[in-house]
Amino acid sequence: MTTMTTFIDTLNDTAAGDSMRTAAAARFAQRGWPNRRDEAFRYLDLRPIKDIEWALHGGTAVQSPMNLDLPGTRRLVFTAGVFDEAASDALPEGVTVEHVPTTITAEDDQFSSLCMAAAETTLHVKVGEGVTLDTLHVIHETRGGDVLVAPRCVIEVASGGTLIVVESVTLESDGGTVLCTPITEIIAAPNARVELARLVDGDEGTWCCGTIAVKADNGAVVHTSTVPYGGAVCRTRLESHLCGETAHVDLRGLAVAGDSRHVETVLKVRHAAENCTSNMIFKHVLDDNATASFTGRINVDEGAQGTDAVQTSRNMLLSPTARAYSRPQLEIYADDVKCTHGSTTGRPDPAADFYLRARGIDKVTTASLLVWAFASEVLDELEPAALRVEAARRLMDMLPGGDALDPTVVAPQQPDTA
Amino acid sequence: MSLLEIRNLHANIDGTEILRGIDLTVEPGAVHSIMGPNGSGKSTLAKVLAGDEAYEVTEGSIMLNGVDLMEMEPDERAREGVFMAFQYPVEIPGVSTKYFLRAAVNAVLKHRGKEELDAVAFLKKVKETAPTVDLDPALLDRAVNAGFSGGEKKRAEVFQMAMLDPVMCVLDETDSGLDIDALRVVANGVNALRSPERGFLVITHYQRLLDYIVPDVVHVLVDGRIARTGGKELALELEDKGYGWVESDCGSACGC
Ligand SMILES: Nc1ncnc2c1ncn2[C@@H]1O[C@H](COP(=O)(O)OP(=O)(O)OP(=O)(O)O)[C@@H](O)[C@H]1O
Ligand SMILES: [Mg+2]
Repeated sequence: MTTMTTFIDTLNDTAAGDSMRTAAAARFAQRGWPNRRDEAFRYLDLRPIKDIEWALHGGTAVQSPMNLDLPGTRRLVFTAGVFDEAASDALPEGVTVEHVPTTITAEDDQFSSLCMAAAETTLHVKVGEGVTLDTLHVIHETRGGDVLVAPRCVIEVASGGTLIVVESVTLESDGGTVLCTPITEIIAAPNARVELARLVDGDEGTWCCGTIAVKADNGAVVHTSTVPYGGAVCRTRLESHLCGETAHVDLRGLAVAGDSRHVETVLKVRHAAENCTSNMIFKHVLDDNATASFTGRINVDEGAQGTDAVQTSRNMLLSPTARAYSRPQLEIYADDVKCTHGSTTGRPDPAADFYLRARGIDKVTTASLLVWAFASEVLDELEPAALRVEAARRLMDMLPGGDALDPTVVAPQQPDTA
Repeated sequence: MSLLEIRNLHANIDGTEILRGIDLTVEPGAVHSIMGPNGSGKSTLAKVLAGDEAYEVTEGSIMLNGVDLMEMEPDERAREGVFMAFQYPVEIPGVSTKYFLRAAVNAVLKHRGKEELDAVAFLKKVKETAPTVDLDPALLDRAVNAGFSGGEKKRAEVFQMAMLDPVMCVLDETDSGLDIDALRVVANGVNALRSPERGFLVITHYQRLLDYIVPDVVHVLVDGRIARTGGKELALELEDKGYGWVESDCGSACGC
């Protein structure tokens, strides 16, 4: 038997008795692991993980957790894929950990089929009409070897409800590979407001290939930010469906990557109703042999007049061997539409470098400040506000001489607080 | 010993020679002014003094208080006491001015073996210094030069200069873009920094600035060379006769 058939058997065994999971396993079995002929996987080399005999779940707690200090948030901890009630705060009303995974409505790809087949539980967050729920901090921590973890989260926010969710995923490989395939689905009813930040950390043996799917109804506002700090591969598929008039999504991403890391975002925004707006900004700082790919697809349906979509991808290359790929794709079937996309790739601005150094700031600190300056546009928008400082601190810890930078003062004050 | 001694300085950018043999000596406490037509190399000289690596120095030497600056990187020169107020200050979104300036001030203090300023001491120094150039301290909460008006950028440069306590100040057209009142304020700020140890190189197109910052020596830079040197009356003469006069005149005088 090949590794693949053994793996499919394992998937089927664990999914047995649950039609949603077995159907997902069948979809995965039919397509198999993606390969580069697949448009959406053109820049991802999956060979290192295809022949692994994956254990579904398992593993232990990590040795270096992310430890984000986010006062006033509810911590929900999943260790090696299992909800750790003892380590978590009490679940607020409307939040459940369900043992029967909910079906997701978004489009599927190989990794999400895999996740749906493998996931044993779903964190289900329901926010009632007009309710503002406490900020949730969902923590996923897995350490292991050749283990697959499949976190699932479904967020439903009723009309006028508000929610902020921070997901922090920490993966550690221990004599093998860890593959994490998180799916988070956000269903925002009319005028709901949802903020999601997903921070991922890992090492040279960890892969995070996940999905965030958004459905935004009339006047709903959804913001997502993805910040991969570490891991051999961090891939995020972002599916946004603007299905009600004047809905708005902001999709942001920031990665600072070195070594041979690969970061990728495959994004699809579908404007299906009138006067919706979408804003996409993805920034990569790449050193050594790191690579980043960004595919940004905007679909404007027939009749989605007044659409305003702005897409930006910016890459800062710190080494001559780092590579960035950027592919905007527009498909527009309405006529009163504003869609713009811009992509830049370059080295840090030598004029800015000279300016800072001409004031006495040393070379290393200057380089870190310029990376910070580039990155802050994304970090400055994170919610809750405490996450901005925490995310900045983590970023600075990664930069040479960055420990001398103080994240509480290095950022200019936001106009609203100035 | 002279404060600044430039000998036979030649510099290229992208293979084009811009500075073609500059000799210039500034004594401690002196104010020198450099005038000259657009494109003659004034900003190039300023940036080469500050150590801009975009320029290649092919010949000559620069000494500051007897120390060779040539092998030093821009940040080392700044810590040695060279300050250049940029003709076009660079906008750096994402980095707060306050943070940047404190890092700069402390880098200089540390180099001089002095105690670094903590946040409180730094703010105190800011509060003392800002009024000397009539700078709105709220600007310091914003990103470096980002969205500053032309005049605000120039004031911010002089403010930085006052904060950093340099020994050799190079001002590159700090007057351009300033209204009449701002010009006076900035000039007063500069004059307040005049001291027996400190030297100034003031690049300007306008004699008007020199009414406020009265120079000891005026140089005219033409085509990468100093074509003429004189007292403050040279600026008046230039205003009267234009650069054509110097250029034609120097044809025989310096052979350029
Ligand atoms: N990259 C470059 N390649 C070639 N020539 C350059 C380059 N950068 C600048 N120069 C030239 O160098 C010359 C000197 O420029 P510089 O900025 O020093 O002049 P300036 O005297 O300061 O002029 P202004 O009074 O207009 O400020 C100009 O002719 C300019 O076009
Ligand atoms: Mg100039």
